[in-house]
Amino acid sequence: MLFNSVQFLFFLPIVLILYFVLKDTKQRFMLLVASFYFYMAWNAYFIFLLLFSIVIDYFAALILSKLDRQDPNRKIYLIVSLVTNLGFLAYFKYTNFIIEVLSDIHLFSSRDFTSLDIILPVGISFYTFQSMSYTIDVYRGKIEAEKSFLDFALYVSFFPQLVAGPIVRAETFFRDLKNRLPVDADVIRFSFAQILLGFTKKVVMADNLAIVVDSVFSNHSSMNSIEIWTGVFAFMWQIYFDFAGYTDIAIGVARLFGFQFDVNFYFPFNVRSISEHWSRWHISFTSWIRDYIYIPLGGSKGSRLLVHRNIMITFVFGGLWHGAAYHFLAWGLWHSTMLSVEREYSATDLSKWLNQKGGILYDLFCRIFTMICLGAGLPFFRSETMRDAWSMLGKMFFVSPNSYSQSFQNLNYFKLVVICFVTGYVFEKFQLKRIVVSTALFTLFILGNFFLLLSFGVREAKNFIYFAF
Amino acid sequence: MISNSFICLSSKSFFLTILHAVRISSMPFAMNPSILKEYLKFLKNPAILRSLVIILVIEIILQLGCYRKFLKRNSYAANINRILDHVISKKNEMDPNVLIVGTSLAYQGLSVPLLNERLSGIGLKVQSIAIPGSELVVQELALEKVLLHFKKIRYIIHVNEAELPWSTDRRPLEPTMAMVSELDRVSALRKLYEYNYDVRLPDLFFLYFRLVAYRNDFGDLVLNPDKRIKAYGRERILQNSNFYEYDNQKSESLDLYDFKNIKECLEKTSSSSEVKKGSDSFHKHSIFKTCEQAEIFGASFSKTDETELYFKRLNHLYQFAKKNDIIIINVFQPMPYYLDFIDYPTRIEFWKEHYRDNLGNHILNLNSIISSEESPKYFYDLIHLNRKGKEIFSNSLADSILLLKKRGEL
Repeated sequence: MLFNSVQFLFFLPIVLILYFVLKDTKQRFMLLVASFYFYMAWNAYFIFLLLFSIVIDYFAALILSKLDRQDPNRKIYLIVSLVTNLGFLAYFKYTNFIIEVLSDIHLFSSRDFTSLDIILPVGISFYTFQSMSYTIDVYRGKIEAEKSFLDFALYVSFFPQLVAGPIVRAETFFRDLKNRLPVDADVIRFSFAQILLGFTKKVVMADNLAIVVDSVFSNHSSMNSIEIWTGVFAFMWQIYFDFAGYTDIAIGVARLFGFQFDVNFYFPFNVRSISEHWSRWHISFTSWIRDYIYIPLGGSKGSRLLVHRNIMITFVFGGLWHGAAYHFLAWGLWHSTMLSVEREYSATDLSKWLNQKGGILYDLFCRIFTMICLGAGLPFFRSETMRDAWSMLGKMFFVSPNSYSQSFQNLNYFKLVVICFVTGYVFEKFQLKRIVVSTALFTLFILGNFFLLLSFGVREAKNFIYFAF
Repeated sequence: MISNSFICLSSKSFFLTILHAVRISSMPFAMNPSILKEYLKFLKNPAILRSLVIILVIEIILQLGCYRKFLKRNSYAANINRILDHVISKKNEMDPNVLIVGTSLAYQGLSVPLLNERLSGIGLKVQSIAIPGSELVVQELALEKVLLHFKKIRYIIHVNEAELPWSTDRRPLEPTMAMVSELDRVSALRKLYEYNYDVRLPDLFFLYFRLVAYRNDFGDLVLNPDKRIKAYGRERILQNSNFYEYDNQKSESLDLYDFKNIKECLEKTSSSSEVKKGSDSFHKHSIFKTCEQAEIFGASFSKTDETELYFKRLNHLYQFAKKNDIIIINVFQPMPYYLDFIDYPTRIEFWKEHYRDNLGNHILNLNSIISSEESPKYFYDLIHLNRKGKEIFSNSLADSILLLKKRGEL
């Protein structure tokens, strides 16, 4: 079920009413049934996959918590959990990519490989990561295994975060589940504002930018450098508004049920460095790969070469998490390269001196340069093939012959991107907490969002981009 | 199918589970009073109440029609208001007994002053309520509105579009909704159902709430306030004192772009191509859009559910006219079929053969009054005539009507 659908407009109030009518176990059972229904509205069969993952991780964690920490069998149960989750992910998400790679390296040259018709279960990358983090944390002794199957099932499948995150840690979820946060008028007001803002980000900003982005990425061969950069920056803002919009709605809805999820985005494009970008973009995912991949690999400890290797493995994994294709792999490599270069540069005397003496000019340069670097990676992220991505990059950096074409057809699109930049800044600058406490500001906020949704909202309910990951 | 039934089953079981849960938890229904109080407190928040009051006040102002004059010029809603208001306001100067009904083809293709000049000798007074982009239901509602003011109407000249039966939609299009919501909305809803439209909840919101109906207009107002103010000022200064609302004076023609087929047309009028001397960007874009449409429609056609539906709708309009003792003169306008993008003559035969009962009392096929070789000079774009073409079509229509009169058939 989409948040931006008529179905959800009826679904949420019904579930909220039932939630406040019921108590304790019945309440949690109702939430679980509602979450399953939310998921099944997309494809009923894949609920079995979700259930299977829940059952395996539930029992694996229970057994892990009962075994002595020195018991060598503990590793086996962890592996069972990881193999189950990663196995599902590998089959549904990576089978065709593996076939493509094998075919490309002519490993089985005598055979003819054709891709399989596999439907990617929506949200599989999110709920498997959430579930895996739980068993790993239990294995590490960081948290206790959850005794109640109902509670654990609800943790994995809670509908606000089920299909596109944020990837909530078990610690956070069970803390709130056991001691539900009070829902008073102030909380309802804040959640309402956050949900409304989420809808505006998605339906007004992201869906309108999608028109520009689709046009540029499908017609890039006839466009010049500036037009392609416009499309690339438009895409940058589209994915931000799309995903941040979804997260706002998810966090707002969860808060109405007494759960407090952490912030997932914090103005990720107005940053001075790539590492700062990653500390503000899809925070729940970034912290996941940091805690469960980068640090176990050795993190920042060890030789410089080892650290760069760790960064590369982590971001290649991050790229492939977003999609099984060469261009996602290239995107991950691009980010790991930028982070490695940045790490080396920030250790130099020049960097330290410029940070101290560079003032506002250096600050501005860093922000613009970071944005260009982030933009340069996006053709890999959005293009259908590597060939398209290279072709776009060629024009963006004036390598292709017709990069200099005089005509510029996207002036209005360019204006739109500037509007998005300003709006994005305003959204973050005037924090919701400040808005909702002032009657005048809150009135303006409601009316502003209402008229934006009414006048500029794209009526056709479009999928959230991160549903595909 | 299995998946759908599974979802139905699962949704059923979902609600059964919930019903059961409600029953066992608390009888009678007992929502936590404190949370209910908090939600009520939230709803009573001054910001929420103020916002609701402001939205309500704006809706009332819009319902009173205060915004009608400020609608975007040439938007569908503005067009229908402007055309019908003008025609009705000029009743003292022109109380017609002939009405031209149709879409932009009739709007651009027929000259009201010229027809009056030619037909006044036989006692005919012609006025036009042709509205660009209007589907049949809009035409009927517009007719219904003007018939309340014009009691002498005896004839309707209905200009048909030969390709329309193949482009019928079950859902009311947004331009249609924009236009019908400017007319009698109770009648509009009834007629939408009678015309077999698939009317849904958002359509009802569109029909009855002005904030919804004008949402695109507000968007344009925010993005282009300068253009809107200029257009409003210009309209105030240049008041139309003629009894007719419009008479096509466009001199641009198809031959400026010199193309022989649709593919060439799309190439020569694309956004990156140059604007030819004697043309402008609007003209070029207009040709491009009509060529694009022609490419979509293609040349093939057959009798389908959609064509059946179209003729049912056409029949509804004609029955409405007949109930008001009005004679229908059915006209097919000239087409530049030298391009061979749509086989118009065969299509018109298709109309006549398959749907003879639905057509009007008189059928005037003026489809080929402009020769293939000459037609590029007389068309503004692929379907609309320019000034010269309009004169030929209007004169030819006047000749045909005079002939009908002479034969005593009118």
